[in-house]
Amino acid sequence: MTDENDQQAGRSTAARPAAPGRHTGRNWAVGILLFLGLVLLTLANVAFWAYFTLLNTQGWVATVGPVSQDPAVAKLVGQYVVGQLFEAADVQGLTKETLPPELQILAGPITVGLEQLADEAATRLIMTDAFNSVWVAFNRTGHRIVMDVLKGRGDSLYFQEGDLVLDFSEVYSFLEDQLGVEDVNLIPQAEGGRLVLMSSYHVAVLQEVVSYLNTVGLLLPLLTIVALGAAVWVSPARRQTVVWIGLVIAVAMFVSLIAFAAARSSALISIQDPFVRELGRALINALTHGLMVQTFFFLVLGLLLIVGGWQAAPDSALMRWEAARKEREAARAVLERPGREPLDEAGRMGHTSPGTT
Amino acid sequence: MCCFVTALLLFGPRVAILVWWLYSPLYITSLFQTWIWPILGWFFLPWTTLMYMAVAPAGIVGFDWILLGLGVFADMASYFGGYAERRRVPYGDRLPTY
Repeated sequence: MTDENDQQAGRSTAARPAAPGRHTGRNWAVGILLFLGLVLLTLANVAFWAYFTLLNTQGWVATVGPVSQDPAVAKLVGQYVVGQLFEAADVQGLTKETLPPELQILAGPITVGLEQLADEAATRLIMTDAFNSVWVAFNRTGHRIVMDVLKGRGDSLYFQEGDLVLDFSEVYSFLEDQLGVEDVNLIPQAEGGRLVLMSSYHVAVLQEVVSYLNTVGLLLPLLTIVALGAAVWVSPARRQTVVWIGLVIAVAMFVSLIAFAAARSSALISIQDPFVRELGRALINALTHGLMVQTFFFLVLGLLLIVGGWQAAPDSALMRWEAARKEREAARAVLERPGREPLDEAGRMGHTSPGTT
Repeated sequence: MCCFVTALLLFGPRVAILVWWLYSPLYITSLFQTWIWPILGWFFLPWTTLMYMAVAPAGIVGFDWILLGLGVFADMASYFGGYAERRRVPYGDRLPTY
């Protein structure tokens, strides 16, 4: 058995072509550039998406704008708002007071019916173009304000004790004064109508992140292209390097897709409130859709590079045929040297009868 | 997340699933009603199982089906790739004869 192994090892060593020692440095450089390209590409993919979707008001509005016309979201928001309003206004109590004593037993079913009608009306209202315009305008304004704050140009109006705050108290006052709805609490997280979007600590961290993303959002993709281009340029075997680049891109993007999906799921699971979770699901799916599609595009690009690089290689059967042809021509040249008997048409030596030798 | 990605890159999907399960067992147990499917998936279709674990809690809609398809593709590629390259492994296609 040991002999067999030794023999096999000997055969493989003999069959292997001699490694060109002069390319060792360039091969190392290609390896380092490929690793650099892998890291840069993974970061650039996220940075590019964040730059054009999260930090850009136009991109944000284009991504989040259509969410209000999603039937599932409209139904969810409609049900939630109507439920909160019916609870605050005590519609069942008012119905009971309005009905004569013998019909007061119908107050419950009537309230349920009214709530269903209100749900449907609210859902239709939310899905209208008019509401969508309001939603888009709200997002555009809100995004500009938040970005201004994160870029250090924020209005102190939105800062209260260092926290970034959305103040709904005037909306609540309007509902109370004009519609007579008291103790309304559309957003339970907003204490006294003040919703703390970010604590001062998170504002500071996000300001750092935004500043960093603004700088590298476009620089990272360029650096990635430079690193991978340099790998091809330096490489002694460029076609193989292209195949390796494809492999690096495909692996990085495949792992990125799994990581993005896992992060999205983990974020959703961590939300306790079912309403916020469902709304968050729609928003996160809308927001990350672009990132997923972009990552998938790069994955396909990587696969195409692998296939392209592979197919660009000379065909092995053709190479064997070419080698055999050259071997035949060399043999013919040797045999047709001056002084030798000429070959016949079939390429054989001149015919000699057995009796003559 | 960093441990998970590192395990995935260095050791492959099976170890990554184990790391994820050790890190957040409730997440995994909430996804599957029984132990049979995750164990079978871990053995035979690790990429598909991993992708399902990643996308299922957010709801499998639209583009998520493509992600699941990629998981199946990766599993099939590893099986067929292993079969196609079996001759490169010493005695990969047959036992040695003495």
